[in-house]
Amino acid sequence: MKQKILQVQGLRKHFGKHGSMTKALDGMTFDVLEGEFLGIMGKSGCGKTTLLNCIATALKPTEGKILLNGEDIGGFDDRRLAEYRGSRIGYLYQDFELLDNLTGRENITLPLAIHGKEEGIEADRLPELVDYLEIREVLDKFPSQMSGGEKQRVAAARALIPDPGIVIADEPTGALDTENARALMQKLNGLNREFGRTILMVTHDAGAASYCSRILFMKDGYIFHELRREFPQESQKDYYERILAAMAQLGGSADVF
Amino acid sequence: MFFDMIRRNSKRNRAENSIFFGSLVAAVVLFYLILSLESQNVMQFLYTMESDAVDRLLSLVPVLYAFSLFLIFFLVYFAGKYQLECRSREFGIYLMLGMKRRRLFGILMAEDMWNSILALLAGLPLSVFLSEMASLITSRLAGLGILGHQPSFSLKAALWTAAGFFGVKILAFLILSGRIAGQEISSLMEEGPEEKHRVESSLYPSLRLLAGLLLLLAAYGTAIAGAAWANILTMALTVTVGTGGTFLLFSGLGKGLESFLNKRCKKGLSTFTYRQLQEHVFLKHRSMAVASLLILLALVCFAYGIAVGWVSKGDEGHVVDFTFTGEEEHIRRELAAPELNGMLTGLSRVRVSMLYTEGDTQGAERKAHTFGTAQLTEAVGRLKDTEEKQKLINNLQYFTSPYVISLSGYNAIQKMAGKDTIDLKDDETALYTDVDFSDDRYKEAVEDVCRMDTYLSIDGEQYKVSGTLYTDNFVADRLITIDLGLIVTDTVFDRLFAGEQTSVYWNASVQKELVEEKGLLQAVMQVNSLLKKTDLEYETYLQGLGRQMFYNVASAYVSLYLAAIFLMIANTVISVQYLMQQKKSGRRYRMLMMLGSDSKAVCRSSDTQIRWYFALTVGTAAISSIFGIGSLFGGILPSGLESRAGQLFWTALLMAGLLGIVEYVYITIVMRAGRRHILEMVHPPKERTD
Repeated sequence: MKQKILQVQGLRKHFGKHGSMTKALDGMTFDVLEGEFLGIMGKSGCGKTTLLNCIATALKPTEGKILLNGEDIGGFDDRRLAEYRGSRIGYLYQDFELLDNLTGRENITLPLAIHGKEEGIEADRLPELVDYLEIREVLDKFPSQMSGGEKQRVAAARALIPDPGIVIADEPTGALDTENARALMQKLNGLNREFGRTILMVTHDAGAASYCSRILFMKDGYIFHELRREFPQESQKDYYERILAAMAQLGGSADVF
Repeated sequence: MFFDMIRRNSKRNRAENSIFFGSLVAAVVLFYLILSLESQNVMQFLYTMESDAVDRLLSLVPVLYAFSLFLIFFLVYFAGKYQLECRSREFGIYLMLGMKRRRLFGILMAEDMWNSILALLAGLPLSVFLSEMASLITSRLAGLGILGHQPSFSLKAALWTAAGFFGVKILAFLILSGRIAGQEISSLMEEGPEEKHRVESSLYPSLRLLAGLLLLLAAYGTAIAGAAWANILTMALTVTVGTGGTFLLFSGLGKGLESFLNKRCKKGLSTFTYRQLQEHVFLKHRSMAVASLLILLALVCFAYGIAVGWVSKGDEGHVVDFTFTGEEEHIRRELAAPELNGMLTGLSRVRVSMLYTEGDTQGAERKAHTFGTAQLTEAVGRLKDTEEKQKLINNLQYFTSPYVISLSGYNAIQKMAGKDTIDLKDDETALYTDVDFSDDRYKEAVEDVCRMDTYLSIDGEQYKVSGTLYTDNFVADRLITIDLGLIVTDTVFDRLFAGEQTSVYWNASVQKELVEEKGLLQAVMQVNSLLKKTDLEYETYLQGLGRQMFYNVASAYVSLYLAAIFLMIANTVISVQYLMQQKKSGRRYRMLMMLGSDSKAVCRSSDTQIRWYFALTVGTAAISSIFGIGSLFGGILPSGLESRAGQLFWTALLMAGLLGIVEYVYITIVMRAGRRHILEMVHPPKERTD
């Protein structure tokens, strides 16, 4: 049986006080298994960003636990939190969040420098990632000299270089055109299939979601539906149709997703 | 509602830009200090002694004030511009919500005025306090305590301060708000314009760096070699080359940092830190160059002014406190009056007369003498070729009708000065020169000649020149000043001037006990106030002292004032600009936290950036200032101080070092502000619920 990389247990996050309390997360429970490509979909305001912020430790949950490889990240002190953020989880943002005064190479190796990792890792892993993500030409360029797709692939290399247990992707195709979005998803898919990377992705895009092995649908702070791709008999196209059908059946429409 | 908003926004502006607000308060203080100069105790005291010089200094005040207004305008304009840029999104939102541009203008104006009023309210009492302190300290240092310190507040100065301050603020605001008014809402709404990293081929910045260095070296060379002082054209050329070099140096400096960056270790945030610094230098190289030049001006003004004031403070060969002229009996009678009795001691006379020679029309009615300096001139010819030798040769051409001083009178001065009396024979003479006319090197040159066993001839008789040159002033101040004179025995003096009227100066000093009890200045002032009531004709040492104090106070005031303005503007411009730029990079700092950096490491990175940012600006100014100060000492040193150029140079460097301490304190304040900003920025993002 596959090992549980991330376990979210009874996660609640409430904002405001009794009279005007908003329950952004209302008892979320799910696991992310090793090597899984898990997608999370839901309406705006359903709590997706709050969930990612809690996993990224940018927000403290009101209740519940998040376990990474069995360790409760809520109990981490500052030192372990810092180590967790840049090295045990990799984060891929919608708008890339590259530091635009650093070259591609400097952006990618920044987490290693921050965590004082030996330069050997950089020497070993960087060429592999760079070749796989096809970003060798832009390594010495600044973000302003890169295309959107190149930026996101550089950001992906940055998320992956410390060899994190899980990569969290927050709408990674949101700022890309269709072609670049497809190219990125293929790369992420390859990373998942060929290299066994565990990925947790939040998306609005049914096309992007069709690369996931499993999708959780969120509503009002909890999970209300789940879809699994039937490997190997179900094609990606069929899975995509099923996602669209699920969205329509469950009250979704193009403008809410 | 709008009043609350104005109050809140003003408060936020002050909190976020405390350094700028502090500089506005400092500007108010500086305005008041310069405008209230005439009402300050020390100036009023100096006015009683050196009214002309003080008048000349005070006539400079409006010029200094206008110059300060001009400089402060740029400070307010640039700092205001960065502030408004940071808030442009907020203005866009107001306009999107339907606020009329006129109302937005009114709100911004009210915010600005409210902060200006607060700066004025904080600055005025502080400036009154500081001017009182400055007055008190100067009085205490100079021993003017007897005057009694009168608190002084100049309403005129306060009103002019307020008028100038508001004038500058309103003008800058009108220009800046004009820029805002002309912008489309969409461009105002653009997310805090994080300026794009400019990409240039590596050749041009490297060439600019090289050209900048070469131009600066050329300017340093002409400055230190003295060529800059040849004429106004070479000076203008040197200043232009130096200024251009500084601008080019900073515009290419980013590239220099690149190669430095490649060699640095890449651990932790060092790559990020130096990339940030490089970006600041790339984007703000012009402001850095301007700030560096202003700091250079501050260093030069401060170091030169204070050093000259300090070094020239020496006692001008002061021996006697009062010199009287007139009848001996009259003088003795007045000094024996009960109020004055015992206060003055050692009344003695010095007789002085001019030895008229044939052909000197001034002495047409007097006995004509012959005076020969052939041997002396020949001895001077044997000196090594120096500037002093030329000066001496030149002076000897006019050494035709010398002043002659009686030995007994001069020995009385020697006694008062606590020195050995001079032993001269009737066929001997000693040379005298007033300290005003000689510096150490000139004095040495004359003594070298004296030691050559040379002779002077008067009326055909040879007089051996004594080996020592005497320079102790034989009157209290400047009743008589002699470039080159002769001291002869009383017998010779009587023989030379038999039957002629000679000048007689009666000298006296304040009793030692009184000096010990009250200090020299107060003792002399007390006696002076009593003497004023008599009908005696006299001069006092106070006049010389007043002149000296005036030079010191004036040089210190003007140079300190200018240095403070230059330094304040330079520092505020670069620090406000840096902190605003840092704010624009808020997302980067948040990203670092997301990548696992801790807040301490991020703050350390900010500190390093600030230290380097200032070090590059101040360091360039400091290096240039060594040549600037050196050049000033080579070019426009006050007469009499040439021989002390070395001492002056080191004093000036010490003063520049003192400014370095001020700069260090300032950098510490900016680092603290930077850390505070960063901690505010990297706090977890506002909680969202989508």
